[in-house]
Amino acid sequence: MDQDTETNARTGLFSFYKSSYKVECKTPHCLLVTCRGSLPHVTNDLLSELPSLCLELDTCDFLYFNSNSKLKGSQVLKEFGSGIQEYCQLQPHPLYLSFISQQELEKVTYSAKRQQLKCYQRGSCITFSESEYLDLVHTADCHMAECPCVTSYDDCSSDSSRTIRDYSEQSTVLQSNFIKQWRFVSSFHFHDRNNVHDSSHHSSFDHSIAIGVVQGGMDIEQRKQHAKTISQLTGIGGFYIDALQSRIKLVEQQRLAHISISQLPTSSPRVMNGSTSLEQVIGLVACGIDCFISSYPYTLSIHGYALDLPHKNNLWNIQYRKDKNPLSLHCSCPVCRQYSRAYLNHLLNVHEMLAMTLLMVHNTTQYMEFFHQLQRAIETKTFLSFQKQFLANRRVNYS
Amino acid sequence: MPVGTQASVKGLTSEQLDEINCPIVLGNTFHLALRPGEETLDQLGGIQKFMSWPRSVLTDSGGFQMVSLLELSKLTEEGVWFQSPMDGKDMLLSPERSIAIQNKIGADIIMALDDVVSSTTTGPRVEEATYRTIRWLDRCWNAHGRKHDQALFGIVQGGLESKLRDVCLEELVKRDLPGYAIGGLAGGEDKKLFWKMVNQCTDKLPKNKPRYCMGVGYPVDLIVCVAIGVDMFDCVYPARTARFGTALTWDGTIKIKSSSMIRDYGPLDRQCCCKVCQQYSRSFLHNNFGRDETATVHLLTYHNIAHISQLMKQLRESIIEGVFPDVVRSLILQHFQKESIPEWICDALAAVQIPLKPS
Ligand SMILES: [Zn+2]
Ligand SMILES: [Zn+2]
Repeated sequence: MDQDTETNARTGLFSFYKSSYKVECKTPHCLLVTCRGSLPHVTNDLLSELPSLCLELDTCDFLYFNSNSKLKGSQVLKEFGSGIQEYCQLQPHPLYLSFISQQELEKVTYSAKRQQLKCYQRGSCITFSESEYLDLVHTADCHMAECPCVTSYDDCSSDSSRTIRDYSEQSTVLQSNFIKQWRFVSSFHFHDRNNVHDSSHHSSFDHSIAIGVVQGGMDIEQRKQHAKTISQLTGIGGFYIDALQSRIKLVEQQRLAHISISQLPTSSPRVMNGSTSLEQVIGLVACGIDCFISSYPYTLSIHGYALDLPHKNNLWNIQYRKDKNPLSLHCSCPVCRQYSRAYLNHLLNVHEMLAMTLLMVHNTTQYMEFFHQLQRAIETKTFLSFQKQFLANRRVNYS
Repeated sequence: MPVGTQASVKGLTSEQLDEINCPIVLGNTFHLALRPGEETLDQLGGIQKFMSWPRSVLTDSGGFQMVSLLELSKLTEEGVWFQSPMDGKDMLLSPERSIAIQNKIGADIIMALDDVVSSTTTGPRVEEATYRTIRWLDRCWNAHGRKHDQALFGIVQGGLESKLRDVCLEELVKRDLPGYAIGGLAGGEDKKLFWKMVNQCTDKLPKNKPRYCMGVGYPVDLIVCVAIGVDMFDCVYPARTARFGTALTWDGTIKIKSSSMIRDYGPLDRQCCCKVCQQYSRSFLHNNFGRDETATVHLLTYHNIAHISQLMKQLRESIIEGVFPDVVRSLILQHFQKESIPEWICDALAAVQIPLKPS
């Protein structure tokens, strides 16, 4: 791990070992949001030039595989005989199973009496027990998985400190129970593996990381307290800082990140949502965040934007109608090697599906390049000037 | 030929099409002339360069879309008058105009503008259309400015009237064109009449020129038409049906949305050697398929076009190896495992000495 001297930015290396192969990812890094097991509009073969891409999976996409809620995803995966990476054909990308950081999650509640969790997402509600979630985590066999917890995104500003304390405490209990169970399963498999001495034996959890969830609303004291409590749970390997996603201002997010991080061990990765903008990511990297769950390339693509770092161009614009240039002159992605802005402008105009696919591949590549730039800046101790320059360049674009 | 109406084949990249061994893609002149416009395509170096497609492209004449999409189109000897969907102005698609546009779009094969009538039309209108198609072909040929690098195909019309087909065939063959299309069919007519018309055309068309049967179709139709002597087809079917979650297999079609797919961990088709079948399970495709997300549509499209491509490859190879009749027979029998073989297929194949039932 390399720590910047002027800011709290840092760069590190994630090494994932899964059944005999290893994938390494440098941080700061992104965890790109998927939809039911694929990057939206993109088939996995188009990502072959991005081997260190990390992908986020939504728990609700996989808890149940049919509408009448009888067939569990974990059962399908058991029958399939391998983890979710193989099921979705997402090799070699490291996978992160989201619980509280799921897309468009409205709230999660827990009933201790019924031992039931309820996830409200996109207007529907999924009910399941703690052990069902554990089962999914177990069978999905992702590289990282969030501990279960509760929250409400309904109207965060009006949450009283009492409400915050209640759900923070409930979250602590859920996470603590979960990690005990996980460790039990984990150590069991570890033991099993040592006895068998079979390198082909696929053992779950051998190197999965449990991600603890740090909450506490906007309340400084509660946030500090919760971060401290969660960091003291044995078996947590990383932290997701739940900062109510994009509903609060960037400075506020940075403040919450600072407070939470002050209580967390330096050696563990810290995850936050970074879907809003590149400015948001830079600002949070400066606070010491390592990984960003993000749908930014998707949001750009559906609005017809192509990144051309540090700028973005809207290809709907008539000025690109006859533009023979690639989407970005400095991009080496398969889309930029072959297609022109004029072609993308045409595909958007006639509403062809290929527009989204090509924009996604390009924007994902550029987004990864943005993270490489962050890594290099931190490594060469030039992060602060990089940040200033980047923000200045972006402002020029908008004026 | 998969159909790439607007210079893209439903979500597939040109690299993916290349992987599937697609030799040629069809583009629609009518759509391309509206957007991005033939001038733009010309300035950008032609359609292949525009869509980054290293292989061939065929463009149709635009006549079919004109008549089928625009209710207000008006037919005269000069051409088809229509209101521009972009600005409402009256415009004329004449044979000269169609060829000028196609010259600019720059496909390898271009089609003559024909007077299109529905295959179920009868009476004097069919006769008029047949003779006009011949007159228009001559105007197309005279207007064709890129004879050296664009092959102009004429279209055999004549509806379901065998005499008119003969007249048209005779006139077209006289003109010794680079290739011939069989038009005015595949529009809902009785299949018994359909195959007889195709057969009549393939009998009379020169053996050393490619024959393209327009608007066909389903995998079994392709097999039968190949058997009666057709060389090329355009298919919207594989990509269109993929969008609704249907996969083509050697045993017929399957619906990926069906609940029987949830716990089916096998590939779409065990006999298929495409990348999708090497990797993905039906279960995953079922779970991934849905409203807001198109990755599985792309995978199904990829597989379906690969399926047709493998079918045509198998037919080509069986002809070279001299086992074509056996292959046709076994393909048809495999396709109709659960239902009886339609009579027209038996008749058509019997006409080319491929009896399906042992006599
Ligand atoms: Zn690019
Ligand atoms: Zn296949």
